[in-house]
Amino acid sequence: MTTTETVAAGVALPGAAPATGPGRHPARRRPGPGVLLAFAVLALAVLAAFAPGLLTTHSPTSDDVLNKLQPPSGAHWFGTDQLGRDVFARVVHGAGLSLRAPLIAVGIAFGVGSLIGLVSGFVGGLVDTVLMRLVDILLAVPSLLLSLAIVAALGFGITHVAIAVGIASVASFARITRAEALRVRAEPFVEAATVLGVRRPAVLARHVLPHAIGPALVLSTLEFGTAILSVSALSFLGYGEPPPTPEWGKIVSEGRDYLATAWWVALLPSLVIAATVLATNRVSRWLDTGGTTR
Amino acid sequence: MAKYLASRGLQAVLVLLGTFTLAFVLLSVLPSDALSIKLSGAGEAALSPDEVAALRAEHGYDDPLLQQYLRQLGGLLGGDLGTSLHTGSPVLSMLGSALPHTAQLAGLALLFGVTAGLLLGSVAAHAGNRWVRETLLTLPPLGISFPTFAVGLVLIQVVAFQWRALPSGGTDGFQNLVLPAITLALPVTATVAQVFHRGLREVLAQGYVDTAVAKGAGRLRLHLAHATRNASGPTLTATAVVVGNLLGGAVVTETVFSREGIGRLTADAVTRQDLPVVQGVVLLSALVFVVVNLLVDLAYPLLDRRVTLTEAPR
Repeated sequence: MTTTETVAAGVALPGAAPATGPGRHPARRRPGPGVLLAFAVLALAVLAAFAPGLLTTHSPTSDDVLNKLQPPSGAHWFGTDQLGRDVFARVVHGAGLSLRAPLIAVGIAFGVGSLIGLVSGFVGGLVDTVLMRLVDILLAVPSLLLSLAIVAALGFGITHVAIAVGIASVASFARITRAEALRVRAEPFVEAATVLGVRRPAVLARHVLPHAIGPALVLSTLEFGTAILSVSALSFLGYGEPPPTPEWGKIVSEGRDYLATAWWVALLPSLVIAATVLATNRVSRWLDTGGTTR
Repeated sequence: MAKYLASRGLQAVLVLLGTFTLAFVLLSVLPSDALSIKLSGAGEAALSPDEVAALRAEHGYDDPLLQQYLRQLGGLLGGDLGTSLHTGSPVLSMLGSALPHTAQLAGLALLFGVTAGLLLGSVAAHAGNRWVRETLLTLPPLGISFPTFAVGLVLIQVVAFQWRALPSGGTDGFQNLVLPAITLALPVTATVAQVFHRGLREVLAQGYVDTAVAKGAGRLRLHLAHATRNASGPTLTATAVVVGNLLGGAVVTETVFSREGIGRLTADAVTRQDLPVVQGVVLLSALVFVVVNLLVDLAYPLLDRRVTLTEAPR
């Protein structure tokens, strides 16, 4: 199992250096232009999610067949689709669902995964063995396939997609938190608390948890980018909300049939997804290095 | 060695059994069983409650769950993965006829991806020019940020529609294989490049590399005999994970390029909520995972003589 374990830890988080624990932050480095740009992109995405009306005055759902498949212009920044709807407006209004679902997914993965990891590492013994075998099984199925299977069982809709993507990424959170819990469990202050008669659940919640959760928090930011991709893939395949609700993946798949004549309907929204993921990953990497000079 | 293999084999069987159990729990116990999903579909709504009850009994969905589980497990051991709710044909034969298409696609994607990744990683590690190096290193994060479907659509738009160089979709022939393989290869390239590059940097910082340089080893020799060999271990391990993900990526890629294969089969099965087929695909992916990991573990000592195979812990 040795090599499999290193893989699981090493590749689930591409580019993740050994995470810095809390309390080990040397002087913070000022974010470079790349990181600032990434923050700007994310700020725009969040603005679109919460106040789409500020970014566009067009309606995302009203048809205008006379103006269908118009190329990008001053009036329609991303052009119009086969029903004459403004593609930019659809992307902006789709940001809410397309970002909320990954957020729910990461929340589930973080909550369930860290809990499994904490208990597994802290309690040890048979509990640890059983839980980690369960995690091994989750790792044996590619996460996209796993989330597809869960969506098939739960039924379609963006909430189900979010739950499915979340469950499919539980394993990496469990692994990383278990490793931290094992490390923290051996620290003198945990031993001290135990000797002083603090009950086990309290030791776990008050002493182990705060010191073991750091890497999982960093992982959440990284997984958020992955979750955006997974959710958009499931939405692209048609497992999200029914039309005409705009979702990023679905906007792209609707534009697919018009690729030869109207590339903008599919490709400009794709670019928005990529930019958002890229920005998330950039910020995540910056947080991962603790924003420190190293 | 025999003991090691036996222990790994047992472990593999346990993972497969676990995956089967997980899939059973997910697909049979969660909110409703396969048959009632099928019956809730359009067209079949006309069945009377009696007919529904008869169908349920016939398919054994009224039996206790444990009995259903054991029956399915028994079928699995006899090579029976159940039948598709949609087409009525055995899941095993559906997987069997789709597998060659996906195996070709994944094989070529792996070849493209690993080759490109190794090239990118080594050029980035050895390039003298700082700008070249930095630019190359921005490529992998860029590569994993693009959704697979977007990559496929861009390739179709540019290569198939504008240049008219390759077909935009279809299953047969090598020409139809190239664009999907490139699409599927991109995440492989990104991962392999990152891991290999990191490995090279670590090796090149080692003392024995300085020794080799002091003894007059040339750049090429240094790269091939020392750095590459020692950096290939982690890369191999990373590739193993990527191989598993190819099956997931194939779902999107085959849909975008209208190819037949396991991925397309999966997408259609999920759309129709054809749960036995979905379960079959999940099992297949776990089998691939287990076999690939076993192969990698067996190959590891060949690359790195410091590693010996001992009985796996636990």
